[in-house]
Amino acid sequence: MKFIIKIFLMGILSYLLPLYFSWWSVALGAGLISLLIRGSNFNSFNGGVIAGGLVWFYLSFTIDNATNSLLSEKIALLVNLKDSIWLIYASTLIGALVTGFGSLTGSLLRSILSPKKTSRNDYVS
Amino acid sequence: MNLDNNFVKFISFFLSFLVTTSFIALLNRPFDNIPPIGKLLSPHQGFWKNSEKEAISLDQSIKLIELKEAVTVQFDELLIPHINAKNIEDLYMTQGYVTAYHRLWQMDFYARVVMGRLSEVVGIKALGYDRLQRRLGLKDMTLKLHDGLMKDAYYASIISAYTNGVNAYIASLSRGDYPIEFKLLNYEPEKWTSVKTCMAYALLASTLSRSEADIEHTNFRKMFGEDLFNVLFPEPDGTSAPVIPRDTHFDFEPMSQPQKPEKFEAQYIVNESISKQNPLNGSNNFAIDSTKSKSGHAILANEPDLELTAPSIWYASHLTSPDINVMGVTVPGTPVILIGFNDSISWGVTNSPRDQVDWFSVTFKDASRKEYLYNNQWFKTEQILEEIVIKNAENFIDTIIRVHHGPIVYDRDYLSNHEKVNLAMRWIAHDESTTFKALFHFNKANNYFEFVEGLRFFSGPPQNIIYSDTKGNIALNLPGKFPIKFSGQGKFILDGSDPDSEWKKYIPFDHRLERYNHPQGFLSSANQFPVDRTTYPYYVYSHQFENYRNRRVNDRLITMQNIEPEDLMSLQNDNFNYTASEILPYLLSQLDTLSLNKDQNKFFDELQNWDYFNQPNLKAPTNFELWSDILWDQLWDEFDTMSFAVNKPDIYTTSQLIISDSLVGFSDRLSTPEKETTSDLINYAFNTAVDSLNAWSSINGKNHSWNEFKGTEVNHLISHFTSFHSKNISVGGNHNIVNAASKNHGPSWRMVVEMDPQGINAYGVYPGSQTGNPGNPTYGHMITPWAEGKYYNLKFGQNKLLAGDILYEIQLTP
Repeated sequence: MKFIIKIFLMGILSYLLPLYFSWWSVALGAGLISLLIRGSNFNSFNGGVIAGGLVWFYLSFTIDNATNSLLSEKIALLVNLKDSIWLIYASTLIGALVTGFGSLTGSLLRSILSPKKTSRNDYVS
Repeated sequence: MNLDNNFVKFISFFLSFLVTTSFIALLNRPFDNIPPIGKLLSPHQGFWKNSEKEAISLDQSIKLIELKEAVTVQFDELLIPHINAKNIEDLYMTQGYVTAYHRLWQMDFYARVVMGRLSEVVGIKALGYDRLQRRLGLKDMTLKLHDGLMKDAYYASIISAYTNGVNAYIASLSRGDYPIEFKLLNYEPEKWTSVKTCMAYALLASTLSRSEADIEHTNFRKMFGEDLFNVLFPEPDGTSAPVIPRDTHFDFEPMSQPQKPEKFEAQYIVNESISKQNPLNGSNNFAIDSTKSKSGHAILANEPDLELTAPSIWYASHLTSPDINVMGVTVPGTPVILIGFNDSISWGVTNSPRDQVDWFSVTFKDASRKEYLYNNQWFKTEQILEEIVIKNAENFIDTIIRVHHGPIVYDRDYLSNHEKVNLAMRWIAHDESTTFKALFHFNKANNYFEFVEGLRFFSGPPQNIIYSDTKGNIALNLPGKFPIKFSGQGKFILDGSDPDSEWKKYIPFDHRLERYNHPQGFLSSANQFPVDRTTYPYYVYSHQFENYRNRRVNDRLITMQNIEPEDLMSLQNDNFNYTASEILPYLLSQLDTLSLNKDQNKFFDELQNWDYFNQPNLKAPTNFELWSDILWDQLWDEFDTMSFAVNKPDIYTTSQLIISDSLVGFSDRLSTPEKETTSDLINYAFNTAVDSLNAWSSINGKNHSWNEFKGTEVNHLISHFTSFHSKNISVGGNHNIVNAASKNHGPSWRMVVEMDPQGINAYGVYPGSQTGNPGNPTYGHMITPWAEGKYYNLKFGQNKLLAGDILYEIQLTP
């Protein structure tokens, strides 16, 4: 459940922060969540990947869908891609990895700052 | 143990932090021409944000604190803004705001073109271009124009208001809102300035009034003598359909002509000359009066031809405030309508080729270049250091020397031919221009008298300005600043040390070329020679003039009666190939038709059965184009062997020489031992044309209809943004044809205006769209209608914008 909440919170921050800050602020948001909410490193990374990936996929996919790929097709041609769908995949991948690494870093920072030993349970929560 | 654990934790964190930040840094940095990938692909800030679902995405209610009162902007279905303001400052502030909304990147780009600052954003490949722009003095021209206008409170308020409007729009943007070109080139819009608001003059002057061939002519004359020069580069006499009808009398006492100094022969040959405007541009305008018009109202038509670009050079708008109601097109970044109409008058322009640039050979005292020779004395030079910022490279500093004639463009640092040549440029456009004021007068003029008051301020670039009004009058004027020249002055490089070679006086405004109404019922212009030489007392010269489109327009207008706006639209789209009609019968008569093979026969038949119209679906225009191009190339192959700057004779002169069989030995092909005659050359070119057509067909795998072969395109200003281009546009015409659509040039705006006093009927179209955003659903939406010769009703006068026609409406409030 905590895992779902973390994904949800990271997703919200990944959606909101770049409206006001740089595009990579998604990493900061995810890192903050993992710093505040306990979880294993593995799950923190995965949570970030899922949250960031979903948000970037959702946004790029809905824009692309609503505009009939009008611009993404032109951008795809500029970078020699056959299909604009690859741009959605690429965006998703970047969103996922940047958020995932941010989250992992936050989680690792938490483990330094928090004296409590990580319990085995955390790996399955 | 505990220590070790902490150490591992710390190392893990550190590594993860490093990976995260490095990954972000990698995605956030550009590589050469590749913009930062992470930023570009971010759905919040990257290219996704430029994908638009709706044609307009502005807020319907906008706060613009510098406004005095509320302003309404209604966009019609073409996305043309109809701005309704309560005072003049609010009007232009809003125009700045909405123009920036549609064309911000293009405005930034043009400002960089004029200021010589393209290298800053596109890198070292633009350095040569930036250096030329700075050597030509476009920046200085703009500053001078700006300072002059800002001294006048009225114009200063307009320019400041427009500038503030652009800046208010820029300030409203977040990173994700920047136009796509900023993102792809990885830079951000900078603050707009009142100087940039004045940039259009230098931009247009450089495109329109800088064409000359002094250096090429000097080279040719030096190598081959004046007699051959006069055969291949004759001066027109203006008897063949000039701009000003031949029966026009100039009853003024002319100013005295300067004495012709002794012939000056430049010492050195120049190997390479600076790039100049494209000679393929072919504009036309014409107006008919009440006698020719079916409705009894004057009708005006204008079609300025330029390089076809995306975003389009033109932006259409309708400006309304208590003392102005004008509609038309302007260059984005400019707070005035350049071509358009109001309730009472309409006007349009075509370029008038007049020699506005002379080159003066300058002698320095020594290598320090601190003094130069003039009138047997040494005078001080001025030295200017121009620093050019280059993306991903060291700054470049160009040293430019100025003498009293103007900047020395050709010198030891630039195209000097082994440091021998120093050429100063005297260009009328370097003088302070007041053309902006002229345009503001046109925008507000109610009648011919007020229009002429505006013409007084028109200082160039020289235009054939056509006029019509709701009282049924028509007029053609060629205002501007023209030096009074001795015959032949400025055809060749002049002696910079000789005061007699310089321009001294200018043709008075009242001695300008003007025609107000005419018994024939129409007036027209198409870049041809302006006047019959025998009727006008001043020397008029340019190295190139149109000789076909002008005659076609006049031939048609003479026969046309009961003209309606649709008839003038047809004339603007006329595809008659006058060149072919004059030369093709002769070329065909010279062919040895008995020895033709199957392919050659087919090629021949297509031409034989042709009516000389360059319709898009016909094959004969392709055959003619190929044959005549090859003939022209082979005929003047002698020029290709010359290592110095030289021009080839133009199409008209070449045609005349071929038909009269007076090619003075040029028909010989250098690559063969035989001495070819003109007829041999025509047959050779024919056979080669058939072969190259076969090669073209097998490579392209399609038939050689004219539209396919010509492949007209509208290309984005950044040439490697290939997917923002529009290719293979199916349109007829060509250079030297009224519908002058060649591969990359053509009618950049077509406008027809019927001057009904009950309310004007105006029509227009341009190959592009109001929006400059390739991610907008309307991007380039007028290109196909333009190619098909269709027009849109411009929402003004009788067709004024009704509630049902409003696509989108915004309110701007203080």
